[in-house]
Amino acid sequence: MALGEFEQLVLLAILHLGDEAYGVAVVDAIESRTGRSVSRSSLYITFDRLESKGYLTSELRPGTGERGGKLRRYVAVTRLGLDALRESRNSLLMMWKGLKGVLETGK
Amino acid sequence: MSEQLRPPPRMARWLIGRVLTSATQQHGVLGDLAEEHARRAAQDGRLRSNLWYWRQAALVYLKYRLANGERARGQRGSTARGLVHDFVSDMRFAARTIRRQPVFTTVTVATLGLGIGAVTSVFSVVDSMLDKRLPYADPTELVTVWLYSPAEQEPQNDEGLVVDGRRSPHLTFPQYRALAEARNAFDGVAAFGAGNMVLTEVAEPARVSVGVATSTLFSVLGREPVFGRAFFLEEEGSVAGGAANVVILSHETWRTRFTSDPEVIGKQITLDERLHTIVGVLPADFRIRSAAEASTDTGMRDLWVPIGQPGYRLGGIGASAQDWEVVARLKEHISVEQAIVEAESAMRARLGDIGSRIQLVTRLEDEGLALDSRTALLVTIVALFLVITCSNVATLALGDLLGRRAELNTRVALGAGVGRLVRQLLTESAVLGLLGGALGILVAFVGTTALISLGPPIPRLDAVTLDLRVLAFAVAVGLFAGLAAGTLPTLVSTRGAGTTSTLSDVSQRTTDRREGRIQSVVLFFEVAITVVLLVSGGLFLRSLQHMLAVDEGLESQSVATVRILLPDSPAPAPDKMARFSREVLRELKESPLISSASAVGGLPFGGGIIGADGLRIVGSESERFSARRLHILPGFLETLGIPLIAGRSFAESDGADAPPVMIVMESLARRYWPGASPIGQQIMHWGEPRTVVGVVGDVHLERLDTEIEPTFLVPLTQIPRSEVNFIARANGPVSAVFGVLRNAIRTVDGNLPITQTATMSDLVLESVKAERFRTFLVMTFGVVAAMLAATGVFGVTARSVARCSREMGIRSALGAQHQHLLITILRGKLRVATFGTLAGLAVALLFARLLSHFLFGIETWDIPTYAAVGSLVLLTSTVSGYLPARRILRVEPADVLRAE
Repeated sequence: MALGEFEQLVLLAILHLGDEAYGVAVVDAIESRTGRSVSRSSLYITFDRLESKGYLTSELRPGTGERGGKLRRYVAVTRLGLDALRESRNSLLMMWKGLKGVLETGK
Repeated sequence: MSEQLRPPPRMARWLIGRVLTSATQQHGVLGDLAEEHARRAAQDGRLRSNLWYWRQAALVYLKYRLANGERARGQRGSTARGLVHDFVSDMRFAARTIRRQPVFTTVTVATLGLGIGAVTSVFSVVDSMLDKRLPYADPTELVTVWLYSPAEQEPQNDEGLVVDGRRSPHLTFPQYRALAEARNAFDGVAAFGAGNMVLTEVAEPARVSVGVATSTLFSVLGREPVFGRAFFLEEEGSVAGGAANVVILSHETWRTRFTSDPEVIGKQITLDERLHTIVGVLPADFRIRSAAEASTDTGMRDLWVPIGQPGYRLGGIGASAQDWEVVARLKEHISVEQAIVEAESAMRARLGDIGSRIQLVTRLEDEGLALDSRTALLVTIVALFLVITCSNVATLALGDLLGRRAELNTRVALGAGVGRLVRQLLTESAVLGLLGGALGILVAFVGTTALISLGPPIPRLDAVTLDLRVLAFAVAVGLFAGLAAGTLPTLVSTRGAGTTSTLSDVSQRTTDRREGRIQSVVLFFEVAITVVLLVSGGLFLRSLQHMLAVDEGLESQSVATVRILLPDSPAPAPDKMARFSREVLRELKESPLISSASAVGGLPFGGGIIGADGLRIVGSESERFSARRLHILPGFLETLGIPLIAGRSFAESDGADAPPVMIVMESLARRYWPGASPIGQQIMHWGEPRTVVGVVGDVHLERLDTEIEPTFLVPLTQIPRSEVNFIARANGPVSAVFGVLRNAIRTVDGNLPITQTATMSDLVLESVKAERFRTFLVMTFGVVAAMLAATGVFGVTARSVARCSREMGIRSALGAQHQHLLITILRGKLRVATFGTLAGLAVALLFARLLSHFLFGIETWDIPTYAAVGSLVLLTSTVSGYLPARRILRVEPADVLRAE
């Protein structure tokens, strides 16, 4: 199944963060890179959905910070998730191919 | 962090905790939000941080609630309990959705109700017609004996059956006796007939329908009386030389006239002025239809008398005439072919060559249980109509669902399976269908009442009721129609749901294009079917016009008719007849309201004209022919305005003792005396010569659409009949004359039952009742279908206007002419409507060939009908497309651009 735009952003952020990918970090990563604000609730639901599809795994580990005694849910992209990302990227690239001119004049 | 840091609001945390089901979620979400809450508190202060936390909590709560719900539903779907749970919650959701869209719901339910109502009315009618439960034991073994005469050039169909209709179920009594000898073929043979008698009780004398049967009838059918006994062989007139005066009551007669009296056996009643002893009561469902009139005969008789009842001879013709229908029970293990061979040899053994072959038809076929063409037509029309209502609802639903695309996408995004969504949407369709079904039952109630009041052409129409089976049918059709109409839109709108972003323009346009294509297809069929229905209705209408334009040969305006039945079966003595009618006519002539009056046995269009008599012209041995007979009194021609062409009319002097005379109709005269006058010629009729004294104009006897039949008139005083119609031409309003007629008859004989009163014009109209009914029905369906198709075009155009308004606004801003925009919007719809119309016309052309035997005076390709329907449908489509499309002209470019 193709990935939605938000799903792609989440998976890419996780890849950027590597071992340190957990909720707050993912939010920060997306917000700082895209300048768009991220809805927390959507993010957590997306985590669940991507995990149920097998695109990411999660692991509870203690972390720093004021968490009211809760563990951090660290997430990592699976091989399946990578494949899905690659596929989404390819289809986008295919679509963008030859449209460079449009992009520049459109600016 | 610092000491004074407080944890996030407890209530908000509790709220989040309620929707998070796994530990992973709880740690992840609550921990992350707490972490951010602390960070925000340090930056923005506690209040803003708390507010932020509340907001997140609410969002998490709502989104997880929704997602959990969808997922839970998706998972539960696999178990039976889950299915029930799903179904209940689907129904609830459907009810909510439906309530939220009152206009859509109303239009949909109304459309479905109309379609389902129409189908249900027709079902209830057809159902009662196709009542397969023949009330006989082992009905498949029962056959009716038909005779047919194979001439040299007899047209035959593939099965070798004679197809031109020269077959008859009427046998002579000797023929029946011969068949009864064919014991190798049949287990039992019975003959029966039907007629009327006058039952005189303490109160009103009443005309009752009487079945006449051999003593074997009840045992052959396997139905014995519930009380008393069947007839004995000795009670048959043919055996004893005069039948016993015994009678078997129908259950209905026993119930209504004898108040279900258990002691009724042995009591006596007066039939045709003779005392009869009641010997039995039949079961309530006992019936045997006349095979010759299976389509109109209910097969129910008030009473049964044994064959050969003294004085009783069917229709005034002797028992030796061809009037008996013969029903037989096939021997076990004998084929119909073998039985025919046996029966024919038995017939030959007793009667020699009768010049006819025998055909055995199962009772099932004879009782019209196979779909006849009228029923098939009705079913086809109504099925087409249901298709239209379903397609209309489908376009409605498609538009509605595409409007809800955002909702559907969101639900998929939140984890609902597409299959789950499909089920939900189909539940909605089913609920709409059921609502439509409920409305349909109401419509069917009205529709069935209308069918019953309008239509005679359907057998047993009076037995039509809306029973439980019919209601179940309505509900089933409702479900079916709802689902049929809902499936396509559901599949279209859920295909690809969730894979595309909700707001993506690209996907919007793709779906629009798909929607447009599907709507075009649906619209195409809708228009085409409408055209087929309208053309059929139009052909019927033109055919009816042609029939009504036929000159019936008489002036039916301002003539009142009253039918009486004299008690002496089959006919009163000539002098009694003459005296009685003369007295009634004298009474009538005294009335200032009446300009002329007369009496006739066998009134044209009155339904009482008896078969045909064999005639032979005296002096030319070869010229034998048959003609129909009317019994008239002087004044008949004047009263009905039938022109006298040659010779004279009957006079008072043509009485019982005067020389036998007759008048012939013009076409008969022309056929047998071409170029010569028949006046003075003699014709042998019933063994005595009658002199032709006059020639009158041709008159249609029963129907307007049949050829004029050879007909002759005899004085009622010379050949009396028990069934007499008094006719009177009114000076003023015809309704005033009935009272005069009734009083005159009552003055002369107060005991006579009046069986029918009608104006002559009503009788003529009555003869085309079947045609009027058919025309009305098909036209109604056609017009409603046209209205539905028009709303379809309207809706589709309105939606595409709404969709295109942005594009049109931009085009208009760029200088496009309004007219061009209008044409752009309309072009597609009109193209579909045009193609639909053309296809409809082509199909109608084929369909009309199936209707050809219902048509009179026009061809199946009657150009005016096709042209009128074609242009009407195109005009309607254009108007109903133009009305919503006009709105595009009011789009302000500035508004559109601002919205961009």
